[in-house]
Amino acid sequence: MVFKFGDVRRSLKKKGFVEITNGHHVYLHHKLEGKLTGPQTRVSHGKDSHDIGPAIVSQMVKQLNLSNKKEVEDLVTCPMSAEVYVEKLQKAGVIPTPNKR
Amino acid sequence: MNAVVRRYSDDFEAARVWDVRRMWGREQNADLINLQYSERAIPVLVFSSDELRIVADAPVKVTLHTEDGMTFANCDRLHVYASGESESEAISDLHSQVIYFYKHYSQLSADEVIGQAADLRNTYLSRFQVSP
Repeated sequence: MVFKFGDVRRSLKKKGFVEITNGHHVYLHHKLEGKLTGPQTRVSHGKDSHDIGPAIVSQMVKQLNLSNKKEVEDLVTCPMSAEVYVEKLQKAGVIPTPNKR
Repeated sequence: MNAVVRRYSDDFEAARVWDVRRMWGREQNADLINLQYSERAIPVLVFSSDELRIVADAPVKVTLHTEDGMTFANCDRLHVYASGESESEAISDLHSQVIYFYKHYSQLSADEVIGQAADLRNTYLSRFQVSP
C-alpha cells in the first residue's frame, strides 16, 4: 500500500505523536503520559501529497522502532491503535512496562 | 550480510575507518562483495550546521547505503536516519538532524523523557560538547 506524507502527519498525531517544526521539516515525536519516549519520524513542509517510497518506509521502520514495513503501514493506515503501538514499544524495550516506571 | 559492519558495534570508539573496501582481498565472499556495494560505515566526530557545531568524545559510527536511487546515512546509536539524493546530501542531512536532536534533548529536563528518549538525552548531553 502506498501512503503519503500527509497521511503520516494526520495518523500519527492521533496515535500519541506531537509535531515540532524545525525549518522546512516537521518532526513527529511520540509521547506517552506527557513524556517523550524516543520514536520519531520526519516529514517535509509542502510535501503532504507526495507518495512515500519503500526506501523511506524502511527508514521509518527504524525511526518508529517497529519490526517491518507492514507495521509502519498498519500504524499509518490505522489498523494499529495507539495502545497496540505502545505495547510494541514496551515489548521492544523502548519504553518501560508500567510496573517498572 | 551486516555481520561485518556489526563487528565494530561500539558506536563510540577510537578513530577508525570502517570502510569494508579495506578488507578487499582478505575476506572475499559473496556477502562481503555485496556489502561493499550496499553498505559501508564511517566514523564521524564533528557534527555541524549553519547554527551550531558539536563534537563527540569519540567517533560515532554512521552507515551509508543506497536504495531506490537515494542515499541513506544512518546512526543507530543516536537514532538518526537521514537521506539525500547523493552521499554528500545524506551526510549533510545527518549533520542537520544530529544538531536538531542535540538542541531538542538539551532543552528537555529528565522528567520530560522516558525509556529510549531518556537514554538519548543522556547520550547527547554527556558525549557531545559545543565547539566554537
